Amino acid sequence: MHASRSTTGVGRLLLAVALVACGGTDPDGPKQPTGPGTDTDTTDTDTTSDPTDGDDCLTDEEQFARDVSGVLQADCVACHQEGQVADATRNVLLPDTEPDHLTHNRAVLEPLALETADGFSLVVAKALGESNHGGGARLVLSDPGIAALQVFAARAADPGGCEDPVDDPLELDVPESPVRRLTPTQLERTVADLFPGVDVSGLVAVQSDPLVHGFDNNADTQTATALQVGQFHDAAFAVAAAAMADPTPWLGCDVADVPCVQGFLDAFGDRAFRRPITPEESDAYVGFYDEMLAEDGDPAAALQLTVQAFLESPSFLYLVEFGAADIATQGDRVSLTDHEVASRLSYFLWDTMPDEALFAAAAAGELSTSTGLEAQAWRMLEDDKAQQSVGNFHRLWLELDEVGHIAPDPATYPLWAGSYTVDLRDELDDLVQYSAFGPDPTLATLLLSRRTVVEDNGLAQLYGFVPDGSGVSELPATERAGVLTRMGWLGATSHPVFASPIQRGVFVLERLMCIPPPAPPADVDTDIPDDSELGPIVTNRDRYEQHSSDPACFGCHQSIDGIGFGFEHYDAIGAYRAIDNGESVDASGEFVDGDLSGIPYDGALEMSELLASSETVHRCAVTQWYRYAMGRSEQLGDQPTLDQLTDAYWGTGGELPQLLVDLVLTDSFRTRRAQ
Amino acid sequence: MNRRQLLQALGLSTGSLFLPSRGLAKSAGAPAKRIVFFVTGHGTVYDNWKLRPGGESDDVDIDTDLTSLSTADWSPILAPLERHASKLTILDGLAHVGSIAAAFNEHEEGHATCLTGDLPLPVDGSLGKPSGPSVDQILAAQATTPFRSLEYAVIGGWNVNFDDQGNAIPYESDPVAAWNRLFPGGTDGLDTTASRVARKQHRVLDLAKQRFDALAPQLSTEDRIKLEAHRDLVADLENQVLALQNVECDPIDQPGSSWPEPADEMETFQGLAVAALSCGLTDIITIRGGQLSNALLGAPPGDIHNDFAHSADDDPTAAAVMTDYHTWYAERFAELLDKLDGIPEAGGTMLDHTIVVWTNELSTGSHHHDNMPIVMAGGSFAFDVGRLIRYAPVSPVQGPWSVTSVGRPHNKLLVSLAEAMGHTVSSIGLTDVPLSDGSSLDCTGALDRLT
Repeated sequence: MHASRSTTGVGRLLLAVALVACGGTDPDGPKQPTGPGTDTDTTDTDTTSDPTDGDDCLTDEEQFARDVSGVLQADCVACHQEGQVADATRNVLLPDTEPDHLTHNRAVLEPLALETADGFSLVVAKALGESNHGGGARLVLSDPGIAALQVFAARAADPGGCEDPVDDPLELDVPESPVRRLTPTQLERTVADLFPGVDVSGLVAVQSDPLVHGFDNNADTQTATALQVGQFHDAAFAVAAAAMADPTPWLGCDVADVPCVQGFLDAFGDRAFRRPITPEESDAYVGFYDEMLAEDGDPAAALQLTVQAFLESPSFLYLVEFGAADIATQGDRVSLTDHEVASRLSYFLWDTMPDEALFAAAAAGELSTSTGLEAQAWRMLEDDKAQQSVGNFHRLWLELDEVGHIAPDPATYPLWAGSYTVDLRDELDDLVQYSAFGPDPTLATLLLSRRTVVEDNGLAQLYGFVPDGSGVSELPATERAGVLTRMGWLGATSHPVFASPIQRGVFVLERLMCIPPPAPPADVDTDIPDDSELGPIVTNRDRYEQHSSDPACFGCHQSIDGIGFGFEHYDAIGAYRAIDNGESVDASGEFVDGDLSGIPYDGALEMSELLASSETVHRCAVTQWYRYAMGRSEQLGDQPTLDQLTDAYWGTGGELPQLLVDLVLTDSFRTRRAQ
Repeated sequence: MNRRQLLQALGLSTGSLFLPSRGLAKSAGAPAKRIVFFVTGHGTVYDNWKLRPGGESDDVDIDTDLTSLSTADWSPILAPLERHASKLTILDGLAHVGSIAAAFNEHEEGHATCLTGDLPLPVDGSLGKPSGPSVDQILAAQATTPFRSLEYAVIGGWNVNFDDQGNAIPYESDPVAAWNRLFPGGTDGLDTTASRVARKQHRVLDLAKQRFDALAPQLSTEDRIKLEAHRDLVADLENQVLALQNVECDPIDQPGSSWPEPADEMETFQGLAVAALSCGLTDIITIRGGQLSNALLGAPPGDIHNDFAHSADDDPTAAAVMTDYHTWYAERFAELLDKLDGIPEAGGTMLDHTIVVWTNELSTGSHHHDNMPIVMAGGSFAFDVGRLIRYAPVSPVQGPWSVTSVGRPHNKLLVSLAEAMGHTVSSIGLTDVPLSDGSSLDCTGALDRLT
């Protein structure tokens, strides 16, 4: 089941406050506000402000009680109350268990709503995760709660009215597209494609840029460091040297045939820069070749040095975009050239440079039409190279490299073998490919499928199943489902001896729900409370419940642990257990956030089912793909695009290939803010 | 650089290298001044770190000659350093005052403040970062050596070095790659394509630099800044490649790529660091020591970070484990000093002309920032060495929830280090923090009592 609240439809670039109708929200009802309701009669002229008079005048107090209070209780109060992490801010609220919470909270919120930040009311900006909100983004732009806060702010500016004010529609800035550099994996795959027949494995060793949301391709952290520049240089040198060891497959010339090589360099430039080389660039590189040749009289050296120079050029290392100069612009937005689209497309779907067919489509102008672009996108998804990009996305999104770092305490897990990390990583890689390209390529498959390729008998025994010998087996239905119940993920989210409900809870919140918990506060006391104060620690759950027993911790930890405890049936290597240290495992929990708020479950199987049918989770998956495709974090101006993509993704039941094609066809992908 | 006949190193396991220091090669002129940062994590176990040779309380200043201490006066953690007493400066009472005054999560701040003195900024989905450079990079900006600075990590660790934008400078964690970078090889005078290509590397970089110059002005401001930064680094690399071709130095043997023990890996990196300093390839190095394993320490089951570091103040088992942890690093630090002190240079040793600073992200495993466990060694050209200097806690710094009294802000040490290296600066990082009486604690200027 999923909540009745729906994301908005297509093209919500203009947020018209007037569209927020009076809904029928019961302030003491479900924790999230419902969408626009049916009571839209706002024509009454009764101006009395008595909230209990039951007439058609919607006073400021009534609007607060009906539309805003529920949002505060659901999304703010956990941190914004005395004794909780945000109680040193100006926004300290009362929970709805306090009798005068409505009056108090409205009085606290009103002056804050009158302040502005980034063009929004401060309370709206904070709820959206802007303006240094320690709690991050609690709501998205299309959420009815945002509209309710907008109305509240407008009423605060002009108090005493009987109806929601009609405000000017807000315009969102065209998102910025900071210039992106090739990541280490993209660099390695690109040079392999530039030099067919040359083995470049191990030659490109470049430090990754700092991760943002887990992704290594975020333009914000791609300012090159001295170490990386040295590594680019070393890689360029090594690749050029390896290529020269046997130039036949890629050169098409005799090395000593100078005019042929000069012609080759121009063609090479077109491919290396992923667009036709300019006359000025041609002069620079062919000129360099001529100089080197003249100085040393060695054609092989001259060619190697020139090829190396191409690989150190900004037009090779970066995805430089100017947009199509001769196409009429729409305000700040310009269309990309066909070649710029081709680069975005191939680095998104293949994690490497365009192939000949894609270059040809760009040269023919096909990528500036939706039909042509869509045709290429489907072709590329059906090519094997799509597997490497999809695999790369999941590697980063699900932190699969951590599987290789699993190191359980040998005394506690004597049956564990180090080689299992390889089998478990292979298992997850297979599950990822199956969930993207198999018969049911949906998010639900990733979360629920029990398909496994584990064959090692020792590992399978720990896993609790017997491999059927065909190479593909089914894990037991009473103990396993998709990625969140796989030993690789469970082991990677554990300490050497004990499983970590906190790491697992944070992962689900951050990576699957896009509702990251705020950082622990200053002065956090990390000592475990005394056994004698709070009773004995028997199970792992006991241990962590005591970690967070302090009321100041519980505000956030109820979200984190509420999910994390659901995994208590799996120990630090991910083996299933019904008993933990002599006591029955308690794996019950309750979601606190998103459209699953208030829904309880027992164990990771039920939890996985709920996540698989959650729109919050589907929207989060869309957001993660968007971040990866665009190579940047989403900005407010992206929210209408994300709404549109989520609607479609939800409508197909979470089908991945269609999502990727839809993403490619968005304006965001095909245009950019002007340089 | 020309790889000539290899020097016969005495083997990495003996812990001493006889390398011709630049100080000897230059017959005139003062030897270079150098600085090495040795940074570890999880603070210390203060009661097992501090020295109180006269039974002094924590509330008084102390200034004691370390050579006057008996073996029994050395705490468990600092005991391995006793043999270097005459060249040590133990600093007790410095604090990361920024982290005390306004924290978002002290553990995530420690790495971003220990060499910057900055107030870290939270970063969405990532670790906190400072707004400006670490002291080593302030110094590196003026360096004229082939490598402005080097950063090495053993077992990893959060970054502590930051450029002037506050972006982390990554470590080199592969000793073979680090060695290749220091001693890039190529043979001299041979008439081969390979040697011609090697000799023209700086021309390739020059062409790349020109292409950046051609492209950057066409971009929007932020993009242009990014590409110009890259271009500047290409220009630096070009100069470095040229400079390396002109350096005369005998390299050490190429290290292996696996070690029986983490101590061996640490020694390999220390050997590289000393070689780099000795050959004048750089004067500024950071060596980062990451989190040790239970197996290495013989620790009982439990997570080093979450179970032992966090509980070392209250739980005897945790305190014992973390004491072993920090003692292990004290032994590695002592070995680094052995290497430097074993190389004669200009009437003394390399250690006399190198300031070595052992510092930490935190002061305790439970995220405190007062009484930072800082030990300096060497640097007698700038400091009056061989002493225990305790700064009594006299300044009550106002934190969001409580007040912490500190001896001195560590920013002043960073200023003293910069000045010792010949760099004039009035402050590094924060300039002041609030005190509980409403006044401010001045964080500018040099640290008193060092000279």
